Amino acid sequence: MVEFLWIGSALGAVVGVLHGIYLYRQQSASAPANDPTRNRAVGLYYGLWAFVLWTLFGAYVLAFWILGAVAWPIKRLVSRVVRSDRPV
Amino acid sequence: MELRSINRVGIIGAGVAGLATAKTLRAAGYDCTIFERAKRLGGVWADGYSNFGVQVQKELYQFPDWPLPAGTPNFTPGPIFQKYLEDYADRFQIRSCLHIGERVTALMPRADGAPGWTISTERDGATQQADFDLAVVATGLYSNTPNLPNIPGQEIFQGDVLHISQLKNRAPLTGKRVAVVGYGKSATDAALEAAAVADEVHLIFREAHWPVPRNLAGILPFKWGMLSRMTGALITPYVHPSPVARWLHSLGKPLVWIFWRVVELLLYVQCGLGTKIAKGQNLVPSTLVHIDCFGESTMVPRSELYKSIRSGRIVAHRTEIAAFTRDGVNLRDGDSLAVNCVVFGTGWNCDYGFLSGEASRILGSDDDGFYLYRHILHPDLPNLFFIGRASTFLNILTYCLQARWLAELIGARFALPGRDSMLAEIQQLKDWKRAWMPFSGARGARLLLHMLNYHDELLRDFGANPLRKRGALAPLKELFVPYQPDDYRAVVAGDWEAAEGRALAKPAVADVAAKD
Repeated sequence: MVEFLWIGSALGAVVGVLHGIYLYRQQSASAPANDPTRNRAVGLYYGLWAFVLWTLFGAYVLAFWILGAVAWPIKRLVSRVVRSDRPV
Repeated sequence: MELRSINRVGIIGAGVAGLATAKTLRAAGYDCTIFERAKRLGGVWADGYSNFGVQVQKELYQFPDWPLPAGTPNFTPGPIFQKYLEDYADRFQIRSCLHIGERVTALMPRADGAPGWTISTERDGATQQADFDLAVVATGLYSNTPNLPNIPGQEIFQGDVLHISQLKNRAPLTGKRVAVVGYGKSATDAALEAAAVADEVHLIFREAHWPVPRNLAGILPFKWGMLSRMTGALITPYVHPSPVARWLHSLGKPLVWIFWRVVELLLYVQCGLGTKIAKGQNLVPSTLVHIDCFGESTMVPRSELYKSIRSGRIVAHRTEIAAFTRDGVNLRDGDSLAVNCVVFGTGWNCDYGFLSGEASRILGSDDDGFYLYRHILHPDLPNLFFIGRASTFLNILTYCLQARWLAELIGARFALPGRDSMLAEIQQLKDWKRAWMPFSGARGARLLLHMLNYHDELLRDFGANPLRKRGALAPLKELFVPYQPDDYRAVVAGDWEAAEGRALAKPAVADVAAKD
């Protein structure tokens, strides 16, 4: 369990860094030429939040991802069987 | 486009979109004239069916810069909302621009060769013409043309056949055996009206749709589950998806899949969609919720609807009418219903009959409606704009932002891309919607849950920051707190730069015509 939390948090941290960089770049790119500092600061703040949230909830997100990855193919298989049972 | 010398603007329609456009353009100094064929302003709110009203919470359906008065009931009733629109017209001095009771009969390019349009109108048999530098079509998606299915045998039916628009009160339903056709908002409203006074009520629909409960799990207003950026990221990616959305819908797909299945499970339990209806059917839709909610019949039903179906007060039939008989209707599933009143809650059609033949040809005659650049303009129809041809969960806000976009465009605060780029963009939009969005006659105008992406696009065009949440917790709010009209107050009022504490230097005035 503890290992899972660590793995989830580590994966979350990686995704969080990437998401944070994206948010920072997006805000910087939309800054007006005469006042770029404010947008960069906002971008940095949003980026840090993205990193923190992904890291904090990474393990929960991973758990849901695994649940989906297992249930989705099963659901598709069941739907296919049900469809093939129906009279044409 | 020739937008450098705009002065006179002709607006067709005095509904929400027309009023928002007039208010925004008047504030920017343009001379506006609004033509409205009805006897009073308000568009769909001027004259609704019995007990009609707004289907979303009141804070979601109001002008960002003119909130509903304190004490307004939630899910604002139609007549109160119409009065609110009258007050809006007074507050922003729009009334002097209004030509009420004047029906537009034709919209043609100006004969004198100048850029702009000639609007022909008719009032009490007298016709008039006026030239405008720019025309705005703000007649919305639901013009006054009822959509009535053509069902055989109607001429021999002895009872009443009504479209929902004819149902002004409960009198035509009192003591009758009523069949209501449809499964959207107006049909379910009609069924509930009938349930209050009729002897027997049947609701007939071909396909069930996922409802949006007013309160999720009976507690949380639906906006918390639908109007946040987090939910926005989990729906089918927008036509121009962000890298985050692309990642989420590729590697993160199982996460998206499980999220929507949990939503379906919650809706199934809360609304009792497993309830057995006629012929052993139930109310579970066959389309996945995140696709179905982009269809024609997305609705926030009144809480009594499912209770009435469960109790049998409203008998639901998942089929369609095959034919009318003398004393009722035969259903496609083999049942026959003895009814003496049939109400079609099958919606309205768009009516652009006033457009010139050439304009109609350019817009096309696709079954799913025409597609526009930014849902506002077609590059081959210069100086003609459509405000209100976009269907979202926050329509008023969307129309106000479209009007702001238009004011910024004609004020040369930003420039349009070239014709070919706009046509390519329209084609992209068409391909994207047709790839996954359920068919409907107004698919070209449907955005619904994609409204945040659309609003972001409009704001980015004219240089406003699309992230509108404020305060130290803004990043958290961006993710989880629903967006609503008051988040855009400064943008709609046109003073977002001051509100953001930015230096007020404007970008260099762009030569719009030259870029075209």
